[in-house]
Amino acid sequence: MKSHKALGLALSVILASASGCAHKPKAVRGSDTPGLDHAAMGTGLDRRDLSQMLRENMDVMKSSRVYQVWAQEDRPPVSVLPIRNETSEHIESALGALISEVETNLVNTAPVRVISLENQKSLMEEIQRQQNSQGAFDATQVASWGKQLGARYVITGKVFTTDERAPGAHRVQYYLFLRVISVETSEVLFQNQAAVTKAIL
Amino acid sequence: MADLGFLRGAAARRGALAALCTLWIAGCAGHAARTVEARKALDRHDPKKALELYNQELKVGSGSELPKQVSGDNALLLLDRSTILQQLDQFANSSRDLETADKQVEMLDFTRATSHEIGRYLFSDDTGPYKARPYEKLLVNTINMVNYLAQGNVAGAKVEARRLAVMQKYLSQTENDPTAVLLGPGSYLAGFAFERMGEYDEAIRYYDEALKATPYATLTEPVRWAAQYSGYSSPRIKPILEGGKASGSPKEEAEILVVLAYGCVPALRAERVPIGLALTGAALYLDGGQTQAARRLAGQGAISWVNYPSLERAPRAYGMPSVLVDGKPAPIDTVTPVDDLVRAAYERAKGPVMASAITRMIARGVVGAAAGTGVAKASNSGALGMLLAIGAQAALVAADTPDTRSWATLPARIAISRVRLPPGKHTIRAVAQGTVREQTVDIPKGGFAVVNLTELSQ
Repeated sequence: MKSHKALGLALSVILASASGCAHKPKAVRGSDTPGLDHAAMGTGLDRRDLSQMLRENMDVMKSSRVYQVWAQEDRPPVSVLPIRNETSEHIESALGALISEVETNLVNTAPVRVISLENQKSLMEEIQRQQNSQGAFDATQVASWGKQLGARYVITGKVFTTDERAPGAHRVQYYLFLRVISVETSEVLFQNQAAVTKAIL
Repeated sequence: MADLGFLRGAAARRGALAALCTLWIAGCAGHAARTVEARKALDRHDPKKALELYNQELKVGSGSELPKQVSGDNALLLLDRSTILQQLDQFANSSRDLETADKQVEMLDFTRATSHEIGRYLFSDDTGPYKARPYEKLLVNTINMVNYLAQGNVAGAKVEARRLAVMQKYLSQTENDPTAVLLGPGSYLAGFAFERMGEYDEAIRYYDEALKATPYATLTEPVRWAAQYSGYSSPRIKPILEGGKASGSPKEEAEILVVLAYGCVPALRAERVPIGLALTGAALYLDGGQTQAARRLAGQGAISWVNYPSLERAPRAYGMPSVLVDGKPAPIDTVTPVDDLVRAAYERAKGPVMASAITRMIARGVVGAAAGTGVAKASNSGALGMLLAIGAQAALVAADTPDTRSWATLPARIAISRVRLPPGKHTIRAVAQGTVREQTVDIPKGGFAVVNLTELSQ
């Protein structure tokens, strides 16, 4: 008799789990849901990854020669250009947010004046168009855009990935390179790399 | 008034509940049934109606909306919808659907809970997450490259090209069939994207992959051009380079690439196969005990049919598409038969799927008999027990929805036409499956235009 009860119960449980229709999605607020921003939702870049990579790059930049150069000048104008996506993930919007984060960081901590590309829509569109349809920009091209913006220095960068899959696992390693270029000389005055890894296991 | 006293026993109540739940599950239609009307609309050259029907299934108002839940079978509906959106020139929406589905398919690949396995064992292959086939995974990136290139966004196409390469590498390590990881159009478009970005070493490697799959005649000039900036060589590249030098320069000219995606692959449909035929088809995948048990059940007359997914009848031949540029015929390069990939994958899976259906049938026989015995003991009624045994088996058979999930709106054929021209205005006229697309493009020196004609009628 016991075995039949168990069978009935097992059958019901199996049926319920197999149907799999019980989950109902609901909207939540980050401030009401502890840890919501901490959980990785995929192998793309989220705010936490961007902040981490940016913080690492900016910390190195602060102790670099370029900060000393800026400190000696009278708040030189600096522009942040779009960061190239050389990855296997569509992270364009995250990289767009990164530009604003770099600008914010510079405004608050660096001895510079920030000239935002957002204020020059046609140039921004031209840079994005070229970024979407042409190969890598050289320092001279970047410097010429800087001139058009009225900047003395431009910050640009790119993100690469090493993307690997194995049965039951997918790992993406991101490397964010940031560099500062002198508009006058096209010289690269600063370059640094920060990395994060995302995976589905 | 019927005497329901037998339901007072706890075991009997659970048995009845199980039977009810099973009948409820049986009410869920398979993927083929959910999408059949939309596919008929595509055959009538009415992609707008097909989109509307998919939107209804996804419970959204338009092709620019994503459903609240993108996981589970909705991911497959999004894949289906993406090619229809591409046919309607809604490239950005098509990209969004493909990228959303791509992520979900990846998550589903890693999801295989025990409950799903039990469900598959007892009820139906339709229970549990959808597992995309290798060619479907590669076509996600291929079709999305077309979306990006048609919008002039080479950077976006490069992202898809990299994803394709990662997937190809992964599949080459995990799939037994090496031809399953080769997809000419995907590698061709990836090479094109890298060539347009001036990354010739990457470009020639992708072109080599494309040539490994398909002998594209239009790759001769691009390979010769890219080879000037790359030391890469292979048994396929070498004879091309030995055959002559690059003529002209893509930097001085304009280039038009037309992608023709036409026809529609055969979808899966639910079919009932006589048990004898099923046992023959699955003979290699069943052990002696399973075959004996199935024959015993068949002999008792308990089971006569096995529910099974089969491929729909679909055309094996399509009319050749055509492309005219400024009124002059442009050559159509090798046509890739995607429907052949679908048929080959189906043939490979046929035996194991049939064996799995027979195994379920045996399991149901055992469960039905056990449920009947339980009720018979609880109610002291052998007749009721037998009735429930038959009922439970019948309900479980009804619940066995064959797994008809597949990306059913893939084009049956993909062809490429590529020409170099002087910079300036050009008119392209592409025809496939009776549908005509005329587009005028203005291409600067060193520039390009990608024109897409997707026509998903069979």
